[in-house]
Amino acid sequence: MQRYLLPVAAVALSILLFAPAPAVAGDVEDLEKDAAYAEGTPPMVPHRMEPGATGEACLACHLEGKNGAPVSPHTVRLDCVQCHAQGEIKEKKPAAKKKKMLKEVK
Amino acid sequence: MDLSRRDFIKTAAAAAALAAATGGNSIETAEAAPDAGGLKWGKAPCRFCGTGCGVLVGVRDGKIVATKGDPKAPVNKGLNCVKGYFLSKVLDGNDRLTKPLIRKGGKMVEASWDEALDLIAAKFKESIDRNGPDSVAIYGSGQWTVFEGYAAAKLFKGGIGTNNIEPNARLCMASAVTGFMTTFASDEPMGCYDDLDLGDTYFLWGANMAECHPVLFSRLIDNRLKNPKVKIIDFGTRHTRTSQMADQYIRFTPQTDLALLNGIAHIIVRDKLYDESFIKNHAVFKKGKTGIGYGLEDKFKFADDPKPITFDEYKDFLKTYTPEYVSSLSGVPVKTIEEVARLYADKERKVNSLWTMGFNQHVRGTWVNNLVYNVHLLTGKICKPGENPMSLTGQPSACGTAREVGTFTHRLPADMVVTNPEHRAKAAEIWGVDVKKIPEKPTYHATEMFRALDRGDIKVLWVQVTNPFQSMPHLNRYRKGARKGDGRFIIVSDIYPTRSTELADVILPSASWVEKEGFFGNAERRGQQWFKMVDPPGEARNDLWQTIELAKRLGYGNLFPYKYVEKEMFEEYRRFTAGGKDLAPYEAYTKERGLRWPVVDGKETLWRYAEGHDPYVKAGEVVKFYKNKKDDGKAVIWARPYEPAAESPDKQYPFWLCTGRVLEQWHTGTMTGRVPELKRAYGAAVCEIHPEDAKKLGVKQGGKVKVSSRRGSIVLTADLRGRGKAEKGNVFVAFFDENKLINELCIDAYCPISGEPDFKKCAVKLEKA
Repeated sequence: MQRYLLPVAAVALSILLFAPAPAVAGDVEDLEKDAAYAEGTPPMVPHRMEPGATGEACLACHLEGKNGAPVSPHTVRLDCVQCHAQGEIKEKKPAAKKKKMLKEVK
Repeated sequence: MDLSRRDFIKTAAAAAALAAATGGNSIETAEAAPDAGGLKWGKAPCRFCGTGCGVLVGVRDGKIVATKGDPKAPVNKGLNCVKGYFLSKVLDGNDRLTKPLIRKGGKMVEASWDEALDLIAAKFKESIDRNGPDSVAIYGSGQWTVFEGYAAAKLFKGGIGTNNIEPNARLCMASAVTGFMTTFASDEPMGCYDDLDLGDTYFLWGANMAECHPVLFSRLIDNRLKNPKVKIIDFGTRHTRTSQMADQYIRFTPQTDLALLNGIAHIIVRDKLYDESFIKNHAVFKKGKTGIGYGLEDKFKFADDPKPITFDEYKDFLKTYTPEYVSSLSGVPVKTIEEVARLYADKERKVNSLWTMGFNQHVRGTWVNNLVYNVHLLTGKICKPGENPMSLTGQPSACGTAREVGTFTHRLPADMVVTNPEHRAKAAEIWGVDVKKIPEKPTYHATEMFRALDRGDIKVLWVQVTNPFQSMPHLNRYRKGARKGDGRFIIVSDIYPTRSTELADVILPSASWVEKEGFFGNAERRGQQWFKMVDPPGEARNDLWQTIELAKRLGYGNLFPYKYVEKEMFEEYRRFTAGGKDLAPYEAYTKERGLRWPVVDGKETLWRYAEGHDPYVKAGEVVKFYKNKKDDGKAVIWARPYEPAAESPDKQYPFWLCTGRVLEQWHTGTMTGRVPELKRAYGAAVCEIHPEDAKKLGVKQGGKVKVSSRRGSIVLTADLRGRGKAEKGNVFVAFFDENKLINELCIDAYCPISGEPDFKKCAVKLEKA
């Protein structure tokens, strides 16, 4: 796995996301401001997911918006199903392409 | 997917993410941004697991209208898992309990609080008068707030004068506790979640973190994205979402983790890969009893008999565990065992071990905890930023309340035990009670408590914040025992009807989470406080209030003389914690997103026992396990052998049954089961089965399979290709589903040292149904 190809951008963002938080002893809290900055409830997945779907499978469409898929605002978070659980299946699309890709992942 | 494509995705993903973070195009989240009018935000830890994610709670007109991952919370930094995102809905199910209910002629009838509490108090008094204080009991949980657990412990141990208090944490964390106590003489980990960001080698032992600790797993994945050196190795008996995202999945036969860890130690010692000076300065060697039994008989008793041994004697003990022998037991190839041992010992690697129920729910749970510490102590990879063994927890305050307040039969606050006269004296002094009140003998741990109820030794049982009549092993026996009559009286406090309320004589409607002020302690020693934000529905009341009301009616109201109950009670509890488990003043927690103890001079501690981090370690000591005074501040490396499970597959029952959790449902589904989105995502328990095993039985995907053990039988839908994939000869069933009580099949065998049952291993047979 050639992870060293990762660009500086990923590192920079990850540091942003997971740098140790500074101690905030005695700070006056502005929870409203924090809430405005926080993400809300993530959308459920309105299409069928393969049981083994990982971030890579999801990003095949959600990275660039293929097949009309919404573009993910946080594509470095790779455990997509941690937040986006199976929702009501609204449309049935042929899943042939996705299946093929999953096989290759394996 | 070929490598270049994979890397392309990552590269592009990172670029897209950066664009998003700096204001590029992104999709809107499902929830519209709430307008500022009338919306008030508060902070709270999540209600669910032991991770302790910070959540922002938006309240308008007395209703929770939104929850968000708290971007300032150091644990989760804005991220939640799917359960956390639906927190706003868990309190709003349409069948919330809102009035006390009393069983009258087989029917549950609405009653006033006074009527219900008077009846409970009368039953307590009657039973204590007739059968003594050990005939009444309280069974709580790792979801008790610190206040609720403290009040219950004080009332039962210091007031009523019985050690009949247990938490459901006995079913989940007890082996971690005895592991910590026997190796380091102090409960709770030396490391913290920062190790998830700072290390580079992670061994997961039977822990499906992707589903059970998703936010922590995301920290690992994030670390790996930043650092190409990071390796995640998943030891498991079942292929999970975690295995799928790990760099390596190592399948082993259930129970042989004991042999594997001794095998790893064998190689480390054989090839002299250990850290000699660390061992010399910081470790002693001991052995205990062997052939210690499984606790299957009622009133089973066990006391270990630790004996010091030398390093050479320990080396002799390890001689049996050759890679070949360990491979023959575990099914792990010799080459893999050798590689893993070298990874553990690699001086260029920062190694962490992570585990939860795979180790703890184990008939040798204490031993297997000891054995993983052995490997870290031998290699000196402990008490350093980025390299530690870390026991993860499953309930929001299993650590803060059950373990640290000490709501176990044998415990008192801050690692103290009832068997020690000095500890009893200290507790009596702080509680302001006569020392003779606190009995010196522990009574029943959880399994024995429900056996005692079945036998009739316990007559009155109060259950708070948990659902034992779904979660106990060998459930048939204990469900029947609860309704045997003959003076038995069961009180259940909860927020929804459960499989436990259906067996109750009195049901009390409780307040939950932000319907009350609370304090939880998570798995990295972080204490987190929150204020009440909304009123509970109807007449529902806080469990803390319920306990104190019983105390008043029993004549122990003087034990709770507080005005601002939560704050004053916390300050009293805090007196127990000085000297290594120090908590900060209550005020501090109201402002902070949690603090990790010991908090000394306003400063939290990230790494215990480590110079420069832990204020109790003196200059020049480097590492000092200062709580283990009897071994001169050294930790114990234990000679603990492999011993088989209480029940292994045989001709008649040829499969292993393992039980556990799924991402979307939590514990017995009392809360998550009320959220339509979560129910839709994972609504019913299924039986994970290997396709070849299914084929032999003639069972197809989605077909019905009857699973039977010596204790019970259940029909489930077969799942051959779900998110978790069973190994051959193994099946897995989640325990959240109240319509499929899989725990009826589980064996009530337990670790003789911790008393924790093994929900992960028993023998079953399968038939097409």
